[in-house]
Amino acid sequence: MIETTHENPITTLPYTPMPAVVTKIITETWDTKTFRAEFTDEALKENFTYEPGQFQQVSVFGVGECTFCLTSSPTRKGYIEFSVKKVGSVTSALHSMTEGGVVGIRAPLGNYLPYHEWKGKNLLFAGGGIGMAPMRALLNFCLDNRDDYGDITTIYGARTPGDLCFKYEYEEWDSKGKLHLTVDAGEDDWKGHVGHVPGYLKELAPSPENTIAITCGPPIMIKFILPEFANLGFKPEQIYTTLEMKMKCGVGKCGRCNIGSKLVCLDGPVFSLAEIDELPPEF
Amino acid sequence: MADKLIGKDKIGDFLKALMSKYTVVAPIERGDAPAEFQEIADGDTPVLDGSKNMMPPKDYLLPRHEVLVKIDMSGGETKVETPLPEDKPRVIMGAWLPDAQGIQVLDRVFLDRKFIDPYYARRRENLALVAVIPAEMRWSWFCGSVDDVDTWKAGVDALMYDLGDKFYVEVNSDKGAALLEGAPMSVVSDVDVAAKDKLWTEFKNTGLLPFAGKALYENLAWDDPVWGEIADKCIACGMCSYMCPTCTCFDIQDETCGNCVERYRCRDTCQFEDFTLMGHGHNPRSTQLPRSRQRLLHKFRYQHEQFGVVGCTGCGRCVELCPVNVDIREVLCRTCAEPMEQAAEN
Repeated sequence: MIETTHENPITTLPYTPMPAVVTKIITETWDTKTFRAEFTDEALKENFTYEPGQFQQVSVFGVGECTFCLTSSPTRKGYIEFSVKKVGSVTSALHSMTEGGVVGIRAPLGNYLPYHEWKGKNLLFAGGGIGMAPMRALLNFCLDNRDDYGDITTIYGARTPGDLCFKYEYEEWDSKGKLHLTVDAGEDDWKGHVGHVPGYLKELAPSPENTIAITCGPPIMIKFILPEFANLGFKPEQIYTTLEMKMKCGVGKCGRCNIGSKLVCLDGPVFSLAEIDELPPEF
Repeated sequence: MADKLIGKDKIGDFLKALMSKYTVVAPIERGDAPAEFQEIADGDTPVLDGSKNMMPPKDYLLPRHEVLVKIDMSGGETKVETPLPEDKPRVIMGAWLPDAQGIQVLDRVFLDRKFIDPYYARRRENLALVAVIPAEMRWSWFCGSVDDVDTWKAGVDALMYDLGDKFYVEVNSDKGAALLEGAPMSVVSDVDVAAKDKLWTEFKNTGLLPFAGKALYENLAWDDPVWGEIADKCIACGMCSYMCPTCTCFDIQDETCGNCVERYRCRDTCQFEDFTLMGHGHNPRSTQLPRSRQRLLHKFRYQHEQFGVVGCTGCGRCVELCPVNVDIREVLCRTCAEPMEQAAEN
């Protein structure tokens, strides 16, 4: 029996990708591009909703499927975005794609950053490299709902100025909130801060008072930033991150993404540090 | 429906009547090789007493290879189709009770979480399950060690006890009653009930290991040295997962033919190195030790935490077939029995 669907099938046919046209490709760095895609089905394009922190499975038909966070904010409707670092077969196929190409999308998947619990609080984003992508969804969401939150501060770092993503949004991030950029190694024309994100966090010493910290980046950054948060007085319940594990199905069946009895695809990808502390040390 | 008897000489007629309404899947002998669950045709004489089984009947719910979506990109448009399985009633007959219980574990994974697997659900809705307690117990079974087997009966539509020249049949559901309606069956005597009870007690006590069911998932430790010992022996062949009635892990791949793509799923196992290998090169289970730990903790601890069921039914296949003799019973005795003894001493 063949069933063809015209609506988002994620709840009833969770393995069925919906075609979407790539309408914009932004070259972020030498190895990272951000893709904007619009569902070809008009009704789905119109009605598709998601929450900041959720993820998607993106198909290049014939090559395979890959897991990416939804980096766009649900406040900016009509399209979704995902940022892709070129590392394997699917990501390489995406990188060689041009505007007008067709991908398949299964979304939205996973839990989300509990922003509704954070109204009236200060938000502190601390990101490294491509780790800014999942946080960008919430950052832009909060900037679009500016009155609901206190200070919105972003500390973002990368290896070199050329490795910083989303440069075209820095003005907005710094005017509606406060943006602190840093690089591991500057170049001659780099006027900003030089140093790793954890060290910069220590230097800036934001108050944990009425503040939620969201952090995402390479494992080495996470390892060093968590003690800095603790030194500043942040409690595990105040720190959130999104975890990454290999996934195939994204819907809790294929058996890859468990950490102990939790599945990153269903119970995550968003976890508080308090929740992570309860898990076996396997990531 | 009251318990009934069916003579083995009447089974042929019974199956024939059944086949007019259902597709019947049962173990078919293949010379010296173990019997295999197949859709039976007229003239087949399946071995329903469980004595020839080796593979569990898992394929009929989770095929080894299954197309999930078809993508047609010819004509400049991308069409995505979802080929769900045919909607036809099917009976699996002659599965070991531990294999039938294995389906209860599959149900938790595919029907119980936030997303229902539509392919599995379609097959499962259409499935009636008739399990068997053979006259002779399999030497490798340790079912009564992992769970309270009395609770397993509720998961099958009917249960047949092999009493030599006849089966004693317990019906546990409406599906089971419909299945046996009009079957050439006779009433049971006290002698039959006693024989059935004796067989059940034997099944319950087969391979009882020195620990209670409850201690099992509480006593498996993350840092037990046993994981390293298994990993040293294991050659990561995946046999244990392939034969396991409860292992469900799968891979998804694309196959291209011209402008069409078939996306299929096929069996996979947490024992393979690339199972959790990510595109950028990081692998959270990069050596065999965490992979060995994952398989056993998943079955005995994580699945219990997730669903309240133990993900092992004690069917013993991995014990019988592991090429390097990793014996899951030994592992459980070491990890679960010792802390219990200590607890008793304290």
